[in-house]
Formats: sequence, C-alpha cells, structure tokens
Amino acid sequence: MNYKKYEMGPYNLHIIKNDKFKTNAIEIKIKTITKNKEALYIQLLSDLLIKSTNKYKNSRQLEIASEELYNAVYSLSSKVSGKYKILDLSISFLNEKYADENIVEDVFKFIHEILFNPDVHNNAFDENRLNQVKATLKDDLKFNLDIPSFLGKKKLNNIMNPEILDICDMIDDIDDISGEELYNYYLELLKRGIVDIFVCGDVDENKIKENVTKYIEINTIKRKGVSHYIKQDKFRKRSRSTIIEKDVSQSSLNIGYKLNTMTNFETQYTSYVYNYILGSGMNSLLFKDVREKHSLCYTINSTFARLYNIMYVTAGIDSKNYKKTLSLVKKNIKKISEGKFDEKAIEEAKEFFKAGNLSILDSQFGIIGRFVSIEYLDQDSFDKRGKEIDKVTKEDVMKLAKKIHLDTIVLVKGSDTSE
Amino acid sequence: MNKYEIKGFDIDLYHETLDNGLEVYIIPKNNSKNIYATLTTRFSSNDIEFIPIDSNKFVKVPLGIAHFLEHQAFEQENGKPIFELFSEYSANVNAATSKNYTNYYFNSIGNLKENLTLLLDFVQSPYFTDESVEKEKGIIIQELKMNENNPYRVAENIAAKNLFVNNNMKYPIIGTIESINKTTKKDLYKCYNTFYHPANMFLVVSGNIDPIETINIIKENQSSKKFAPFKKIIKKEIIEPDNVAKEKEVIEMDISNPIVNISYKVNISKIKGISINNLYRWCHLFLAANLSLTSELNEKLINEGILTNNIDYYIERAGNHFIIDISGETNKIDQFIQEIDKQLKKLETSENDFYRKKKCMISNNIMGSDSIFSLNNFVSFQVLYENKFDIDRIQYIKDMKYKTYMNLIKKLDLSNKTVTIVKPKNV
Repeated sequence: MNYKKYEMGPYNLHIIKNDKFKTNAIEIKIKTITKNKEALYIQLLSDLLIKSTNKYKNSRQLEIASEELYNAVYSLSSKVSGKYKILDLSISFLNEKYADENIVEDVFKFIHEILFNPDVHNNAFDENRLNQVKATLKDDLKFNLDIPSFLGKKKLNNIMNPEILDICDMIDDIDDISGEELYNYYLELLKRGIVDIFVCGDVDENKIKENVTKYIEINTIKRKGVSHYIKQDKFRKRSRSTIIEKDVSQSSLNIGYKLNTMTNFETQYTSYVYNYILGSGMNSLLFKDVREKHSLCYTINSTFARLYNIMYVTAGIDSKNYKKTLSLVKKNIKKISEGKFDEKAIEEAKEFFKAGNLSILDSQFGIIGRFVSIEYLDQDSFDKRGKEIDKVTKEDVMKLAKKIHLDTIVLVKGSDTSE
Repeated sequence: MNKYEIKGFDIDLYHETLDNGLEVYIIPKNNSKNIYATLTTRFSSNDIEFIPIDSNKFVKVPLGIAHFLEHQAFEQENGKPIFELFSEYSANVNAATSKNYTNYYFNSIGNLKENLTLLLDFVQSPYFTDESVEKEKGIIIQELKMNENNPYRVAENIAAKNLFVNNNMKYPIIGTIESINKTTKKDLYKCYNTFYHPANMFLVVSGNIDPIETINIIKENQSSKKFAPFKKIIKKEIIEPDNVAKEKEVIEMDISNPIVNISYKVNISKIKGISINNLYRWCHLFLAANLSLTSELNEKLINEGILTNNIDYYIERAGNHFIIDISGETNKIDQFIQEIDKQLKKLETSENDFYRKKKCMISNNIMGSDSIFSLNNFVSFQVLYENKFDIDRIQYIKDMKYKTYMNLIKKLDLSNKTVTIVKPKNV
C-alpha cells in the first residue's frame, strides 16, 4: 500500500495505491462548520443531488447510468464529525481489468454530474423534486423517533449539549426552505467547504490527477480548518434523569457521561481499552453482569462519542428493572475507576485493537476511513496504531475513568410493567 | 480433498466430506487479513415435530427451540464463557438462527487453529442445566420484546402467520413468551442430539488460511471425537396449500407513518428444469426490474406521492413456495397495494432491463469475491439449499437468454397473497 497526498489548492487529493481489490473506491468529502439551519441544508443537498442532475432527469435515469458502469455503487450522505458537517460522496466500481479501460474516466464523469451539474433552473433547484426530498426526510426523521433507543439517545444529547443542533429538532423548518435558498447554499458550500478527495485501488496516479483536474470543478483556495473536537466544560454535581412514556414492548435505558477533555492518546487508545472492559462486547463487565448474571436485558453496550468527549451506556430492559440496571451499571463503572478488574482484559483489548487495525485493510472504505482520521482528527497511521496501543497501562485506564462523570439518564418507558 | 477453481473469481474452493459426515469447504484468500468460519446445522425454527435420534415416535418441541438452543450452545461445562475463550485469541464469535438453518461463526486475524478448534469444540459439547435454561429465558424474552418494538419485524411476523396454513414458517423464529417459558433442558438435548450430528452440518472456512493446514486441524479435531451413527432425520411431513391462511390484517402501533407489507406465496414446485438457487436468482432479477430504483413503478409511486422512500423487497424460500415480500411506508395504502399488484402480475421485464440487470449480477458476483464474508455466504447458501457448489455461476448467468428467462417468469403464479398494515395508533 502506497499513500500520497497532493495539496492542489482548492482541494487535497489522497491516493492510496494497492492491488488487493477487484474494485476501486473514491470518496469526496466537503466539510464545513454549520450554523442554524445549515445542517439541514447539507442534509437536503445530500438527498437532492442524487435525485436528478442536469443530464439524468430523475433518480431512475441516474441509477440506470450507474448500472451501466458495471453497477458502480454510490451514495451521497451528510455526516457529522464533531464541529463539522460533511457532504460525502462515495463510489465503488470494478477496476479496469474486470470492467473496461474507460471506467475511471466514466466514473469521474458520473461524479461530476452529481456534484457539479445539478438540475437547476433560474438559479433554483426544482421545487417539485425538493418537495419529494423534504417529504422523505420528514418521514425518515419521524420513523427514527419512533424507535425508542433512537429517541432516548436524541433526548440525552438535547439535554447534555443543547447547543449542538440536531436536525430531528428542525422538522418544522424543513418546509420553509426554498429551491433558491438551497441552491445559494450549495454554491456557497462549494466555495467555502474544505474538500478532500480520497482514491483507493489499483489506479494510475497520473490518470487520477488528470480526471480530478478535469471533473472536480472547485477553484477557490481554502484556509486550513480547525479541530473537529468538542470539549465539555459544564459538569453536573448531581445527575439528571428524565422519563419519556411510549407505548412499546421494551423500555430503553440511555445513560450519558461527560468527560474532561481526553488527550489524543486517550482518545485513540485508552478509551478503546476502557470501553472494551466496560461494555463494548460480549466479554465486557456490563454484558457479563447485567445480561448473563442477572438476565435483565438482551442488549447492553457502552460507546464513546470521542469527538464530543461523551460516553453512553444503553440497554433494552423492562421498566420495572430500571433502578436495578442503573445501579449495576454504576457499580461496574466504579469498579474500573477503583482498578477492580481483571488485568487480562487490558491485554485482550490490545490484541482486539490490533486485529481490528489489520482487519480494516480488507475494506477499501475502511482504508480510506483511516486516512480520513489521520487528515481530519490528527490520528496515527496503521503502523503506529499497532504499536502505540501496547503502551496503555492499568493506571491510564483508571486515570481515564476519573475523567468520566455521570450527567443524564433518559428512560423511554414502555408498557412492559406487567409482572 | 478436492480442489475447484471458482471461475471468474480468481479463487479456489476445496471440499471434503469427513468420515463422520461433516462437509468441509475451504476458500483460501491470502491477500485478506481476516479469517471467517461458519459452522451450520440444518436445524431451524421450522423443525418442531420430528423423530428424535433415540426414539421412533414423533415428538413436538416448544416453538423457538432452535433459537433457544443457539443461545444455550454457548454454555460450557467448565463454566468459562465461550466469549471469553474466543477473546483470548482476538476472535469475534456469534450465532444466528433462521427459518432455514442455525449457524455459529467467528472471525479473527490469525489464530486459526485455536479458534477453529474452539468453534468445533463448543458447538459439539453441549452442556445444558436447569439453571442455565432458566437464566436464558429472561434474556430471550428481552430479545423478543426488542423485536416487538420494531414495526417492520412485527409486520413480518404477522405476514408469516397469515401466509401459511400448515408450514411452521408461520411461527416467529424466537417463539412466544409462553413457548420460551415452557422450554426445558430435556427438550434442548432432544433437539441437539438429533440435529447437531456432523452429518447434518457443514463447515465453511474462508480467508487468510492454508487449505492443507486447515483441513488437518479439522480432521485432527473431528477424529478425536466419537459420534453415534447418523440416522436419517425424519421430520413431520407438511403439505402446504397454495392459498394463504388470511388475506389481510391491520394492527396499530405507536408509530408515525403507516407500514404496508404485501407477501406473495408462489408455488415453485411446478417450475421444472431449474435449480432452486438459479430460480431464486431470476426471480430476484424480475423484482429488481419491476420494483427497484430503476423501475418505472418506483419512479411513479414517488412522483405521485404514494411513497416517500423506495420499495423494499426480498424473496424467502419456504419449501415448495417462494415468498415474495414487499414493503413500504405510505399514507395511500390501497393505491400502493393496487399498483404493486398490477405491475407484478404483468410478469414482464424489458429486454434492455434484463440484459442490464444481468450485467449487474455478474459485477456483483465479482465484487463480492473480494470479501471473505460474501464468499463464505455464496458457498454456504448453495450447500444449504442444493448440497453442492456451482463453480461456474458467472458463465451460467452470462449464458442466460432473455427468452428462457421470460419463459420462467411467465410461470410465476402471483394469485395468492396476504397484506399486513401497521397503522399509527390514534391518540
């Protein structure tokens, strides 16, 4: 695997050459810090730009075009990465050996069509098309909010970080956005957004550079971005809890913790080990205690939102077991901060980390993802990660445990109270 | 051990049937880092009435027992949880139960011998106790309740109940709270001893492995174990009519948008001269041509505001029937059902669509061959349904003619269906 970065002014081109796959993968990221409704704009753009283009007048034609490219698999999505919102285009396609010699250029033409040749008339996106996209988005957001675990987590975030805007809370603003307003934002995003293009596969670098120059129509030179990470600075002395009633079979327990700002080493390594011990898998304290020993749940997990310095514990339970589950979670978290856990788990966590680090190499988007983390989040390379993880000690884990503060508990309470 | 080349994939497949009857398939892919192994038994949630290995009378076991057994298989005599043992070799282990099989699998980087031995050992050394069975009930009931929170899962279960008259596929894989509570250690052993014989199972190992080393590990492990002679498993014969049990059901849930599920029950036993996997493939193409994003119908339903999201569809095998399952979120329920029904019953695919989708099918196969997980699934499903592996499927797909395809499609009988509607509760 051979990685090269080309700083080309309006964008950075990252080429990761390897001949392991029968496909090539391209990911184009346009990132920006959003204010107010802008997060909603990016969401709508990610939905709208693949519904039609100037050449392909509906998603059917666009999809047929991708099928003609030996079924190139593409998606356009809006992603959140700490302070940034990202418009992300990914495409994976058979390489020349299995397709034909024009495939790379044809794919770039296709990308150009989606990102730079939108279906626009009189400086506005088509209102009908936009209305369809709005209706879908509203339905999708409502569907998500119907799922207790999603609802619980969203409520948790609202309480813990009210300043971070969630598009679920903007449902009522969706209808107000016009085709013209959105088109203006699209133009601004291309001007203002920081653009990175990642290409992974058995590709000819010159050919890629040529195609990028020809088909990626972005000309404004960008300033360097800022850190993606969000620090927590308001900690509660006493945790807060909220109950939402919903007519469902199983209750969803969501517990949120805030962390004093983690160091880069803690973010990349110690938090992984901590999470492994607490609740990331079937060998964790929570799984063994809450599920296997007390039979209180089928799923229980802890996860880190590392960019936000937040940790979650979630479980699907009967509401009558709410207090019991909560106290078991607290007990296990306390155990780690007191160092009362099997040190073998640290070594296992390290081995899992290394295995995961190598496992990523089996997926092109996995490989790209690692280089994105290096570019955006100041993280380490594959090789360095494989070595750095070994430096995590029990003291590191206990030190991190002391940074973790219980903040908010949300129970989505179902109609499961019958004994 | 026999070696075959999977044509068009640049990949070899090795096969051997061991003395105890276990079928072993090995797919080395040495530019991968991962190893993936799946151990599958032909025991599913459907198998609730059969003659146990040590008897000659039919018994009926509680619903959901295959799934219960899958949970309990992780219990070990020495008390050390299986998850912990695999963790020592950095492997992820899990299992799944469906209406057609139960399988156990791990993936890891390296440590082939340790993990493969663990997999075979834990599945082949059952240890169920009254306590472990009791303890598991609470966990499984929570899993059931989790499913009940998902309206799509709920719709799927109702559709199954209404589709079948006799076929046990009408029951949910997980069973019911009542059947879970009723399950005993004795029931579990009865099922285990009957269905977990190596001759009723197969093992597929793919990834960064050496085929000779792999088969030697497996042989060494298997030859050290004793198994009773295999007795052909007799399951209660079920004759399933073509009609559905109930044509429509409407329920309410605490959701925002109505969900509609249309399930067709299609008799395939009358379609001769084609394997079930190949028929499945062409039926899938038929659905893709008529319902996917490239179909005129999908475009129409979106444009007319009948759907806001694309149509979802899949096919399930059910004995002599294929179940074609279609769902969508819509406020215009009747229109949605009519439009889908009208379109499918035309039994049409344009020649253009056919050749384009066929090209996609070939691309998908090649793309899938980059993944040791897809490769493993390719082999497993063919072995499960046909007891063999088709090493030249790409050529078969290439050779398929439009006329032959249309002749097959015209034979699909879509006159039997059930409709399930999940409506938002009126508050």
